Amino acid sequence: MSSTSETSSQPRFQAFETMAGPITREQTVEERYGIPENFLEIEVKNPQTHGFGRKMYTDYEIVCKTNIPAFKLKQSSVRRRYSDFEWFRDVLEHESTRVNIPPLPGKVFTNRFADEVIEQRREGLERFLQIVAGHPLLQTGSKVLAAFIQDPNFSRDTYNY
Amino acid sequence: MSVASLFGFSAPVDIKIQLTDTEQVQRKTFNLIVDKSQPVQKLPLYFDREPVRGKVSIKASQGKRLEHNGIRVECVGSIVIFNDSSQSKEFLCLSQELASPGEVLKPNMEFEFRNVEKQYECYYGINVQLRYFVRVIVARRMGNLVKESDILVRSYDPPKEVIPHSIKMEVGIEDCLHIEFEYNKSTYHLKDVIVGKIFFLLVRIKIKYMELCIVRRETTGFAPNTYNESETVSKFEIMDGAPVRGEIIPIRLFLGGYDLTPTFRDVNKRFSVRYYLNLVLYDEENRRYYKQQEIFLYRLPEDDGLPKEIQERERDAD
Repeated sequence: MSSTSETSSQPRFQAFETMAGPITREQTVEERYGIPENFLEIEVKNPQTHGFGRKMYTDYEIVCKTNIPAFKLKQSSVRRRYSDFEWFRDVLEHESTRVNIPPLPGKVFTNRFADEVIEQRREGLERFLQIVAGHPLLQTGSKVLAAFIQDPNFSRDTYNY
Repeated sequence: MSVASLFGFSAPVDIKIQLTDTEQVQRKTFNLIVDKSQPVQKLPLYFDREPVRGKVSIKASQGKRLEHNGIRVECVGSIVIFNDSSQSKEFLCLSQELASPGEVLKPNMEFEFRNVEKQYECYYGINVQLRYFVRVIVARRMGNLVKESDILVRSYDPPKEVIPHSIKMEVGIEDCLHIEFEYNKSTYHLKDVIVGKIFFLLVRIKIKYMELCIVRRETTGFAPNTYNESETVSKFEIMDGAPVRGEIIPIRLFLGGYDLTPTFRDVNKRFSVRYYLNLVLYDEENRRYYKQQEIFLYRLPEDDGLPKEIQERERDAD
């Protein structure tokens, strides 16, 4: 389908193969049909309320499945509570000046242990983690991101600023 | 309705400028928007050193007498910088007296400007305008009457680069996204095609789609006080969906469909207009990853439907 026209202004058809030589990196079958390198699933689930009286609190399970090397474990499950998330968000904001950290679901003062409230909070925390965990600059730049999401022996003291 | 007549000073005056064709060539015209507040104008194309000739007719309404302090006609080339008028300049101003002070007696007055230098291309941009026009000024005690008629000048200079080369680069974010992009040329004419491809070397983010944009950037002023205006001339989606390692996405973008001008570098040392290809990827959280690359545009005579020999003709006209 090459053009036979003489005028130089007619764009001459160029097949992609003619550009800059043969393709030296062919896509392998594994690359084409295997699990992609960006596999990352974050879930916040199983809210459980512990303690009684003034010491009652709810925590949530963070389940992470991934093949991104920034996360040391391919699968993990840890439990965190809302105040842990607040601390975590604070640290993220201090760590990076360039990245916009999304907001957490709001603080709740009444009805903290009602089902609908907990469910709304669970959804908000999940959304927050999905945005933050998938952020390329945080994955590679944050010292606290992977540990907060995956480390069952996580301790705030290690990361105090 | 002129301001003068609002105050009841004088009846409206109708000034018309009519440009005449040269004998040898059928003059080409182009429909362009010169002033956004006005409809599209049909502008005649003039070449460097060509004469600009025409007739001026001035009519006062209802056959009233029109007294004036002199009528002159000018052939003007002007650069207007909107954000800083001190940078504006009339770099060309040829003047001819049409009538000395008195009364308008003749209905038509002819003018001729010989060997008019037209070295720049007209440009109607966001913060900059370069225009060539014929201006008639009727001087009067209570305020001059001015009428302008634009002409079009275009440059068909070949690009400065002698050896054409492709643009090929590997870019990315360490450990997250590596791509190699390639465009077949760095210099394109206005009806050319951009042929290229994007090769994905590493994809650890979840990409939603990818587009290729043409961006125009106007620069005025001098460092460190340069002022830029950028405009996305077009957006062209080249990929929808998530690629993986080893995937190749082709690019074939026809420039003729967009409102483009040649690359202008330091026109009259007052402004530049440069073009960039902006490759933009969006991930699932709408985060943008982009790489801008300058391309150089030039105008071929064939792009405007003119014969290739236009360069020789301009030289012969001297």
